[in-house]
Parts: sequence; structure tokens; C-alpha cells
Amino acid sequence: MLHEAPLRGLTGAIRERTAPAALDADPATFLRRFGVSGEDLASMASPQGAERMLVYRALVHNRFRGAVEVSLPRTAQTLGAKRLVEQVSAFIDERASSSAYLRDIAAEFVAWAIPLWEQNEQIAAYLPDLARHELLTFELAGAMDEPIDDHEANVDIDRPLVFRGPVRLERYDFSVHRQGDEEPIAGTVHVLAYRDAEDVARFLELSEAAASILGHLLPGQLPLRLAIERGCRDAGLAVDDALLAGAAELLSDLAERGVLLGSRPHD
Amino acid sequence: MGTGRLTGVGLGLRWDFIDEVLDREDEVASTVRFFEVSPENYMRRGGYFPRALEQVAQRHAMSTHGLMMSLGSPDPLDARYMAELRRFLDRFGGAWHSDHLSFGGLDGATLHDLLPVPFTRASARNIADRIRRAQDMLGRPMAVENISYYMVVGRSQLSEAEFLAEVLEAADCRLLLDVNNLDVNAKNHGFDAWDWLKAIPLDRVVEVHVAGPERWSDDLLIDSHGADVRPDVYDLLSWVVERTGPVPVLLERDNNIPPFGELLAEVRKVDATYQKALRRFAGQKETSRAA
Repeated sequence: MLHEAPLRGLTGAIRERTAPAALDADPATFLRRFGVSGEDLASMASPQGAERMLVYRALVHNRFRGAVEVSLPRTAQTLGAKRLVEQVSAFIDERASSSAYLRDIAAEFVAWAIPLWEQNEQIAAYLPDLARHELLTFELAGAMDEPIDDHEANVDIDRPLVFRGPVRLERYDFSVHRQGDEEPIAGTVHVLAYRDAEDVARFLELSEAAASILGHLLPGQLPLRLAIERGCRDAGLAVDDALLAGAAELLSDLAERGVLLGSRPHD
Repeated sequence: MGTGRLTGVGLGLRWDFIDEVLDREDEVASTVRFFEVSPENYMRRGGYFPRALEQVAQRHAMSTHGLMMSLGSPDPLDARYMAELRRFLDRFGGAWHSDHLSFGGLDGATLHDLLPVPFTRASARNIADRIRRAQDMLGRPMAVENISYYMVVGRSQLSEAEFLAEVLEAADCRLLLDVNNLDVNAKNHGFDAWDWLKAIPLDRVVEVHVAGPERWSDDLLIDSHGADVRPDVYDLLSWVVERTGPVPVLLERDNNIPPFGELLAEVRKVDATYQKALRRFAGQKETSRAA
């Protein structure tokens, strides 16, 4: 049977927040907590053994932090280097990764961190939205291609519409989708996110009515007419000529961007 | 391109230069005999890079080298990962798939590193069992790579070379011999790399890796793939190829990646050593035939 204690000792040294201090103070006591004993203990608790466990700890923490910085550069910058180091370290201690894919670390970290950020008044209120938006950008660029439903290249008001995926509809409380150095501004923002022909993630800011209508259209079930009626109802707006003209303009724009492909054919 | 028997000097494919691989087709085709990919970078993923990989695969021979099988872990093999890997290998895989003699986490927590395993008989049996299961799940043979290790995990019953030989024998699998890892380990732990080479079953070597490490501290080299191949590694490569014959050799570069032209020049430099060693290999065969 595989003797797991040495592996547990090493992973404990890598993961536990207090490991550096504990290994510095008394490596043997630290390792005994993981069941390391006898000759295994003598080998791993030597000064060089303790130092090398901390080398592995540094390598793992650097890799996790690098994965976050690559996927979420603005979020990482907003958090600041010191806080990022501390939070990634806490994340590794409490959760680590459950995915075989390095690129999933950013999403796992954000899912773990957002509840903490929301409770911490020292963290910018827009940070959860910013992280979600950067994650969306990253996720969209590498999302699996979605199968394209049969369609005809016209827009028929009595049929559901067909879109080229991946397409996502997001709602933020801050203008985190706008690039630039200025801080995001508070206020509800609806964004359509899609991937263009060059596989680059793109974003289109929407009115509340447009977002509501698209929310009904994107699943591909409701005919356009019903989607407009329900979208307007949800947004508390009347279906009038101005609104219909705006909807037509939006759909035309989406077709030009290659997101809207047409209408589902008649059965 | 075919994914049959590989030979010559290849290059680890990285996103940093995948566009140049496609743009500089003639130069690449005349220099690089194959590209090696880490499936995890492309599995369960759409968008630009899988499309670029398809183009590379149409033009060049490929091999696959995984990072995340965690062969030394007591956890069960990740069935979902293995199924996704098999789908990838069915499309891009060659005669074998390789991964590392390491573990990557415990109890379902993944640490995304190649962590060292104890050099014990129980550990060797555990790894060999998992290699056999992995071969069944993937429907193809596996090769395992000797890693760089910066500490010995617990008491050793075996030397690293004995441990490696025991795993290979028990799993009846192939060896991806990383001579840079050997050089790093020999320098970090103070053993003789040549003795190590004489103690392992060279007949199981199906591929050789070369790379360059970086210095972490006065007494520790780290296998970062972040520097040029060192002279000692060229010597080890030469010695090995002289005995194995034309196994494929791969240059890995993951950090401090130089301009692509310089990387191709390093591939040519590795190839020069490789060709010289092959001439000595052929000469020895002639001599033994004549005798």
C-alpha cells in the first residue's frame, strides 16, 4: 500500500497559510501533523528538506498567481500586488484547484474571492463586476464553438432567430466593460458579449429594452414578435414605432457583426 | 501529417510562437521534424488556438506530452480528464502519449505542478498500476518522463534510477528520457549522471527531451525551460543517441522565449549534436556487424 504521509506533508507545506512560519520554527512538528514519522520524518524535517518544501510552495503559488494575472490583469492590478499574493495564498490554503486545466484557476479564484470582496469595504465595489467581465472575456475567447442551427438569411418577425455562438448577455452594476484608466462608473449596464470572426471577444452596450428582448431571443425558442412583446413588458415599455425602429436597428447591427445569422426555417 | 514513427529534432509548440510556425512554413519545415503539444492547453477549448493547432497538425508531425495525469497520486485517475484526453489523442496523438513521474495534488485538490514522488517500492507499484490503467483508458501505449526533483520525499528504498527501472518494468511502458532533468538532478543532488544513465533501461527510451534550467539559489537549479541548453546536456544527449539510435529529440522552451529565429537556430544546434551521435551509432552498428 502506498504510504501517503510524505505526500501529505509536502502538499501541506505548499498549501497551508501558516506553513512557512511553522517550518521555520519546527519542521518535525509541522510534518507530524500529516502523519510523517520515522525515517520519512528524518529525511523531510532536515533544514534542507524544509527549505525545499518552501521552494515547491513558491513555485506553486507563483503559478497560481500568474494564472490569475494573465486572465484578469485589471482585477489583479486593482487588488494590488500585496493583496493578490495574500488572497491567492488563502485560496490555495482553503480551496486550491479542482480542475486539470491551468486556465480554470482564474474562474475558481474569482468564485472563491467574490464573497470576500463583497464583505470588505477596503475593496473597490466594482471589483466583482470587473473580475466577472475579465473572466467573461477570457472564457469567450476560448469557449467551444457552438453548433449553428439551420437558418434562413432573413429576419422573420414570426419565427425565432438564430445566432452564432458563443454569445452571452451580462448585466453589471458598474461600467467595467469600458477600457481605459478611469475607474468604472456606478450604474446598471447591459452588455452583449460575442466572439468575432478573428476569435476576439467583443462587447456591445445595450439599452435595458434591447437587453430584455435579446434575453428572450437568445435561447432560440420565442418568435421575434413575442420576444419583443415580452422584452418590453419586462422593461416596462410600450411597443411603439420608436421601439420597433430601435429593435430593427439593433438586429441589423448584430447581423453586420456576424452574430445574428437569420431566422429559423419553417417546420 | 502522419503521426507514425517520429525521428529527428522537434520543438515544443507554444502559443507565443504558433503564428510564426504557420507564417514561416518553409524555414520551419526544413528545421523542425515534429512539434510536441501539451493536450491540456487545447482540450475542451474552442477559438483561435485549436484552429491554429489544426493547421500545424496538417503540416507537421506531432507528438503529445501531458502535464496532469498525476501518476504518483493515491487519488483515482480523473475519468473525465482521461476521456477528454483520449478524444484529443484520437485526433492528434501519435504512437504513444507521455506524462510525468510525479504527482499533482491530493484528495481532489490540484496544485498544477510536477511534485516529486517517494522512491519506494510501494510508490513504484502504485505508479505502474496507474500507467497500465491509463494505457487501457487511452487505448495506446504510454511513455513516462523522469522529472526534476528538488527534494527527496521521505525515506528512499531505491535510488531514482532503480525506481525508474522498477516502474518501467512493472508497467511495461516506455521512457521519455529528459536529459536536462537528469543534469539538473545530478547537480542539485550531487550524483553522477553517467552512472545514472548506465543504470536505466535505455532500450525503453522512445524520446529524449532537452531544455535549459535557471538558477534559484547557489545550490539549486530549477527546471524552468527558461534558458538555452547547457553544454553538459548536449554531452548527455550525444551519449544517449549514440546508444539508442534515431529516437526523436525535443527542445522545450517555456520561459524567456527568445525570438523565433533564435529558437530555430537552437533546434539546428541540437540537430548537429544529434546527427553526429547518429553517425557514431551507425558506425558502431557497422563495427558490430563486421565482428
